[in-house]
Amino acid sequence: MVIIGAIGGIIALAAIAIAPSEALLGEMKPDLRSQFPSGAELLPPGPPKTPEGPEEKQIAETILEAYRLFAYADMTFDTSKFDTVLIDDPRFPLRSENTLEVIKAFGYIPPGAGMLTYMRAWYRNWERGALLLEGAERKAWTEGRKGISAEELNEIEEKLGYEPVFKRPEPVPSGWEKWFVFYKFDIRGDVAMCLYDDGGVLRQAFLVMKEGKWYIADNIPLWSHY
Amino acid sequence: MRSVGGLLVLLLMLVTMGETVGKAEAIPPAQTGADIRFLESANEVTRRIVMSPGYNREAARNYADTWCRGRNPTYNCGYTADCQNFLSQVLNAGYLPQLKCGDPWNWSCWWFTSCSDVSRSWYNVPTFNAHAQYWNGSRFSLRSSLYDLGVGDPMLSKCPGCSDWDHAAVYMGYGIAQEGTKQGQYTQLRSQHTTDRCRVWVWDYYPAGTQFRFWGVTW
Repeated sequence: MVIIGAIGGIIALAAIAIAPSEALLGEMKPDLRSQFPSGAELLPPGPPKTPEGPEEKQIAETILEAYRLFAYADMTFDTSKFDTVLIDDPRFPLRSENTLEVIKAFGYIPPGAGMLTYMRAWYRNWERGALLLEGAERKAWTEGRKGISAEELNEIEEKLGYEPVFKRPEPVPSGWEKWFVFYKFDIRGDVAMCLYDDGGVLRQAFLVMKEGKWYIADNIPLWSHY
Repeated sequence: MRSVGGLLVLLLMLVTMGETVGKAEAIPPAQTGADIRFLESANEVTRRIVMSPGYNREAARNYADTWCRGRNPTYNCGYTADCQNFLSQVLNAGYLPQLKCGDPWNWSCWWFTSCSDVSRSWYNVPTFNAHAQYWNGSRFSLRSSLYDLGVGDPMLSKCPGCSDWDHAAVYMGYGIAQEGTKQGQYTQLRSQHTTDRCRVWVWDYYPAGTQFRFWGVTW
């Protein structure tokens, strides 16, 4: 009887673990990326499109403003204003290919992580690596060596758990906005998709509107061509 | 006695020719596809550093200028993205020694014999980066600035959201830009494939968020 009861208890616990609760189901929102054309369906991008109307213009401006903030962060690693253009939205959860960057930065994936969390992680990891590389380089110069040794580089990578990168040596040149080409705006209520090229990469951005303002909720690189 | 004497002479030659470290065997600068030595085994623990005239940057630059808009038939393997293949050709043209081993995925090696006998490091950017890092301090040196680069040095880049290094270009030093936003101006330049660019301003079309790895050839 005791054994039967124990087995029954185990089965009950397993059933609870497998069947999602109503509360959990209520928190799960669909990933809206699937409602838009996939990256492959958007290639080739077609003719350029000049943003028309207030919505498209605001979307384009949000994207450009994001790059202004990235350019500032490239030199300072200051991401404090990223939340003015980027957002973590449950309808665009962190993609699997971006989880490692977030884990490297924070040690775990914060609940609700998305684009904002990812880009902060990108710069946080970059900064940590850059500081260690700069220190090693200064040490090498002090000792009369021309560069970081293999052992020093490997030690830094082991310490970080990932490959370090130097800070961008020079700022993004002025006039970079001229590289941008917009190809497609697909606005569906408070969600939108924008296909654009930043001069180096063709990208598919997903945006959400919050309190009358567009924010980037995801950005997928489709084709690197620099 | 003669065989012992012969062995002693051989040993003396090996000692005077260089030091013994590492796993791959470096070879003298060679013409394309010629004079490539084959590593005895993946566990080979000795390497002879042979005196060489070093990386010929002028030859590398001339090759880049010749083929920045074309495809050398010898290396035209049909890669969708040809940037790393082009960079490797430039390095080879500058007589950076090839390192051939049995495993094309072994990033300590870098070689091209034919389109069907080529190391992954020759045509794949992340694997070439691993190759350069493996040889950091001997064949290559990680640099923090373009001002520490010489003509013919590799420039690798990675975009936010990209999983790994996704582009390779060749630093071309100073000159007149042939295209791009600074066409006609004297400035620092790069050349590349995919997108094919010849002597474009070195910072053109690298948007904010792009990361770089500059590898100075120290051979």
